[in-house]
Amino acid sequence: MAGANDIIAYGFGSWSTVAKLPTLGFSAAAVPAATSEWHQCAEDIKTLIAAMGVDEWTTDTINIQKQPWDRPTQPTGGVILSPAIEKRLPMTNKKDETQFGILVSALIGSNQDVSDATELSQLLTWRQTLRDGLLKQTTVGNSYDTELRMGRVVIDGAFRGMFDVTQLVVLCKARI
Amino acid sequence: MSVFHDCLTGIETLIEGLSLTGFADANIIVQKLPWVRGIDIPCVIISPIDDPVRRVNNQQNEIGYGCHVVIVTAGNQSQTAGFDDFSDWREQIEEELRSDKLSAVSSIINITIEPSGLILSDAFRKQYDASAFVARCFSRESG
Repeated sequence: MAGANDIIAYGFGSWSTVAKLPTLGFSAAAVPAATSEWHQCAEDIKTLIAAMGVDEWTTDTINIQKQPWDRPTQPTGGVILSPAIEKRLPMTNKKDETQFGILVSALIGSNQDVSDATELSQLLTWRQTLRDGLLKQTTVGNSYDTELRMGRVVIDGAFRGMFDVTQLVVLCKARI
Repeated sequence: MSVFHDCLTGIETLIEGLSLTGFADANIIVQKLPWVRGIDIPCVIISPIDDPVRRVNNQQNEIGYGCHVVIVTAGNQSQTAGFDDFSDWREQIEEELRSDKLSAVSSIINITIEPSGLILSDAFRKQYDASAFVARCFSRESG
């Protein structure tokens, strides 16, 4: 009998030996083309952030990932873009008002120095730079506007894990 | 330098100017988080908490910079010792922030006080008397 955490897929491939998720029988993992609206928005936000003039933020250190985890970003500084909320509001017969949420996590290694004034000043400057550069954008994917949901300034759990991390969510509003 | 950091250091300066009995300037400090680590008590820790943004017109946004002010002293789990002093410190700081409006930061148009616990229960169990509130500094900025 399968355990509570097992996912049983009847008629699909074989169980993976690594995790209790069934493989679909493909010889290699199918990699979807980056044509989804979410990915287009993420790529455009990556471009915007790389152009903000912050030394630590380049196309190599800004990563689009499934989770806001600190791999493979280097502890010298970077940004992780990962999925956040998505909302769909019915509009017309042909289109919905859709808000694609992208969680922006700016991070740097901190060694748990809670009183370092230079590090705090840098983190707050990064946050202001992100806010000013990502609000009310019209060139992100097919969005007509962007709104921001500002998260916690210093993420307590990440700080315990030796990182200074600040977060916000960009809501990319599109009619599709 | 960011407006948020200016707000935090501006609040630090205002509190130092009150010359609260028992507080050395070195123990009124801006930090990333409100943790008592490497500083003497009594102390006041000022840390950033959040900064919601809303549009006010085509050219400006209003940001409410949330500055978390935490006053910490040794309580030793006494239900009465130092209680009146503690309340008085908190009231002095809140009143100073309300009246000054952080005039040293030019984009700040108003400050409101969002009270948290007068005596925080978790800190009390750990032998600290800790009192907290959020000073929300409203700024109008181009964007």
